[in-house]
Amino acid sequence: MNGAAWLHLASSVLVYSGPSWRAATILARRWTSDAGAGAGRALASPRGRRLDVLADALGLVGMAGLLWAACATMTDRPLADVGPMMGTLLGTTAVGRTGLVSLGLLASVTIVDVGRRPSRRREGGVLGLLALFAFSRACAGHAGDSGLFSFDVLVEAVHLSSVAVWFGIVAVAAWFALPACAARDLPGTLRSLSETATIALAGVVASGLYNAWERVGSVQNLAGNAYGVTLVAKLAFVAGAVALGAYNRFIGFPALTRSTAARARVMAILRIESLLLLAALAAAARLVTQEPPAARDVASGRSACQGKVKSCVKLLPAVSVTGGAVFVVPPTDAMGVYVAAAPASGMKASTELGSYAATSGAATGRASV
Amino acid sequence: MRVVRSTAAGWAAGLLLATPLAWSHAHLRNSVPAAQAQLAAAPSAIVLTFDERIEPAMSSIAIKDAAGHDAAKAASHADASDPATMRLDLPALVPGAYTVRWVAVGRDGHRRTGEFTFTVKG
Repeated sequence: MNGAAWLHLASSVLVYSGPSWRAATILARRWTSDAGAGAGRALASPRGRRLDVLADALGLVGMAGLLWAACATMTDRPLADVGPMMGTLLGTTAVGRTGLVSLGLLASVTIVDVGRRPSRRREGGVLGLLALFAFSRACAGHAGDSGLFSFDVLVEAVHLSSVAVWFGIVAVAAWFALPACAARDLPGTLRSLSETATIALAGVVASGLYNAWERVGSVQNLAGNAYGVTLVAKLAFVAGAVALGAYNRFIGFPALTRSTAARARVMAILRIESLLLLAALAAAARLVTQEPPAARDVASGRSACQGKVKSCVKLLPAVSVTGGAVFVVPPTDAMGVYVAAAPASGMKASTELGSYAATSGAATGRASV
Repeated sequence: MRVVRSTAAGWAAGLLLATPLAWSHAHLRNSVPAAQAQLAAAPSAIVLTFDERIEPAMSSIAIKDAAGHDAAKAASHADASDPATMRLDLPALVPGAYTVRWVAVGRDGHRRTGEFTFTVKG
């Protein structure tokens, strides 16, 4: 990873975790209005509001860092040299324009939060601004090409937002709200926390399975490529968090009121869970910069047909066998993407295309048999 | 009910964290002239078509002759009718081998590079 990749990673974590904290404190205030009065006071205290503004600021810094890293990546320049190109980035590219909108929305959230007491109306406004911010982020990248409300974008949004809400509520509860919660109010507050985390987990699992199928294609694709390794690491972090959450829900919370040691153990486990989820967010941020194996397969012509033979057949206009190799001949003079899709003479259904080369103006795909 | 409402609000807010995953980087789908082409007549332009829209300000085509010198002084530009196509207008090329190097930055900011050669016959 170069400097731009590290900056992108760090900035992404800030963009995820800062607003995630902000959304979670709004949620937590809802819980603590009928349970955990001590936690409610802490969230509404000057210190709690300062933390909200700090979270807003971290999101802003992260967004600026994302744009800086994007400029370095897009221009292939060192981070220190991209300053003169930032104007071009912000003024002429989709990444820059949507980034500017995102920055403006986060700045608006910060302005709303600074120096004002929280109220339901104000928090509703913050949620609205955050929703607009979400829309601006969704417009960046390929989502803009596939349609603003495409199913894949929706699924990805649900997946990342589920992880983020999960992280936010666990982090807010573990590091701020629960330590201030009176012992008698803990069970009610933790019940609300647990119910929300369970709903978020359901979103993570459902959308994660869909994404894994679409982007990885097969279990074999998890190995031998950076995307697969990062995805496995992310799954490990999430699995660890699930295990800790399950322990707390079924063992830790019921024993909470019995001793101070039990309470300390629950807090410690919640904090470890929040750190695991932060690591999962970092892995998710890293995945955004990596090319999924399924997409790479389609582009390079390697085993893109696993599980999708019908759609690939259309890409295979003709097959001829010459010597020990199969050549896939495209219909037009072109170099690029052709995949073997159906069994042909001397060719297995699972044939993988190797390199492809262009000759006499027509591209050919070469496959081993 | 309060928890459900709060959760729904949280999900809506959580959408702010959504960043669409990049499905792929820009891949070259078609080139004129084709890679390794042997041309009887010099082409008037290099035209590259990718499988997704590209950012013209961040993308480029360069052409070098066999000695490694720039064979075209003009800058490449996006095709007005197809945002996935990039074009470099050429001067009259003398016979010889040429190498085309391209940089394509997708709309999502991902950068991809590549090169191919072709020959103009004498």
